[in-house]
Amino acid sequence: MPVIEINYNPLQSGAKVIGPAQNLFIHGAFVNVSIAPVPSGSVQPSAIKPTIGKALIDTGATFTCVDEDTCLTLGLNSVGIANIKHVDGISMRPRYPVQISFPDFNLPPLNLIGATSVVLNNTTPPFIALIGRDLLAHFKLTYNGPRGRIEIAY
Amino acid sequence: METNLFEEERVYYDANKERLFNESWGKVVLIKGDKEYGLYDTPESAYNAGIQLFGNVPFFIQELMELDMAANYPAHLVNFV
Repeated sequence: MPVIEINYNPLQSGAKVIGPAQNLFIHGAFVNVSIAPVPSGSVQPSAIKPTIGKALIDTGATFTCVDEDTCLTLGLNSVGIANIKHVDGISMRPRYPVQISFPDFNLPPLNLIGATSVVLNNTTPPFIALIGRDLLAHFKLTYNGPRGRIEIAY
Repeated sequence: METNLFEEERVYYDANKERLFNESWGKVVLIKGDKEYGLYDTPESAYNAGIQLFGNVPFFIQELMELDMAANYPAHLVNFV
């Protein structure tokens, strides 16, 4: 079973160096992802430049979601509606077909037909996706707190 | 953000949900306007069928499972992200 270990380099925060475990606590566990349209007869993957950015591994998220601006930049068409809970109650968000690739890992691209769109463009660091339990269900995920890292086996 | 997207499709789906659940639990239905365009085994096959039928335009895909409850995004909810 291949295992991916994601370590966190200490970040500078003012005069203090943030250690890997604190970094994981403050910023969460994230991976680099590339988001593109799902290849199909009328959508040629080479015709559209994928969006590359960071995705937060979010075990609390029911489904994987992608930043709304990213979906609009890629010119995606919606394939459904998702109800999501937030502070003001429940609202409807469009769902988009996306292909998620992991440039740093030897994983095949994953086609996700109903990724929910949410507004993530004001996050620090800027995330373009939240990896939810619908994708995490395919992996064995270990959170190694003292080492400040996560391990993903598949 | 509230959206009026798929208003017609959602009306059709809600009106036919009970029948679809009873007859085709676990399948994926493809709807455009107030018409059904088949039942599929996976969302990907429904998506490919939609692209073939309508081209690269919005169409409605719904898995026939009891997943209509609101999805949780606690990190998003507490402004972690």
